[in-house]
Amino acid sequence: MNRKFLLWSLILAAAVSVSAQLVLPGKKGAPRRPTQIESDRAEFDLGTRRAIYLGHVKVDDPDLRLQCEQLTVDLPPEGTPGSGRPNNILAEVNVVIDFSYNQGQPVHATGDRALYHYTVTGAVTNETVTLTGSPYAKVILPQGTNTATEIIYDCVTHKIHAVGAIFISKPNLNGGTDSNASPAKLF
Amino acid sequence: MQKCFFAVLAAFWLYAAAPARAQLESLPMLGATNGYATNITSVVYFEPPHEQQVKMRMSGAEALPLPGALFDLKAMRVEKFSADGKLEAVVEAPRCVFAPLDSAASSAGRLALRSGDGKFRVEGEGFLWLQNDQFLVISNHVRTVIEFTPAKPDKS
Repeated sequence: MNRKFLLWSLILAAAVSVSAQLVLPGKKGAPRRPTQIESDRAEFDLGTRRAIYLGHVKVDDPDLRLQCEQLTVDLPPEGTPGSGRPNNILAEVNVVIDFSYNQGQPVHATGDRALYHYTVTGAVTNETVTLTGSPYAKVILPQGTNTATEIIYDCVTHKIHAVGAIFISKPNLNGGTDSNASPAKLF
Repeated sequence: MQKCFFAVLAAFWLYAAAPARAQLESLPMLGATNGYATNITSVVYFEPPHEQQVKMRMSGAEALPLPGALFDLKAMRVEKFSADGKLEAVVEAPRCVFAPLDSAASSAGRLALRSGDGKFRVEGEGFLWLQNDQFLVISNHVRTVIEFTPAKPDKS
């Protein structure tokens, strides 16, 4: 369970969750390298409060790398609660996310789209990330490959719901160094 | 847990509105002449009660009227300020064409935008701003750099 939480916290929440403040947890040592985003084109619609990065979108962050063909960010209407933070962030087409977790283990996640959705209704906060793929979204760890048609991560409850779940485990052909390595079953 | 950078994307296009608005409000000064102007500066102030505070300042090295009621602006620089005088954003374009009648600005050249503290920067080549639609497109080689601020260390 702990592994599930950690993995998807990193893959999904860290990849597409948002913060209204540009503040990161402090790390001792060297200053944090800036995050860079490259794309062929970008569109910013102030009327609909939507920003779209198009074409060969590459996000290079010290903690992860994300690639997709389109990245869309929506802000809720001005003056509404939480209007300063995006309520939807959608990465589409050939979504590839790479990061390290658990002391440097590489994780490679792919899918057709990853959607972050955030709403506040009354005192209830809904914050989810949905990774989908056709036929499957896929997560590759040294311990094995995990797939599902749709994987929903609830950022509030830290629970995962998978649809069309399939689990595939394979030996670590790279001779992994993790002595604690074991099949990482997500579902 | 890592805080994410995507929030900044949204912040960008809020900043992005500033330059063209400033142009729109400033350039009627130029429209009154048919001549060539240099070292132009125009300022937009806040509405009351902050009417003494500069909201936007646009400057350009040269402004040349073009056929079709267009203006060729060189070394354009737009600064946007908060009501308390804090610099919020700076936009620079070596050259752009402004169409007052269409409320549009465009260029095949470079556009650079940065937040007042310089921690958020966007640049690209080729842009189009449609004031009426409040729509900005950066056409090529868009590059965004975000410098996150580390959290204060724990007191423990």
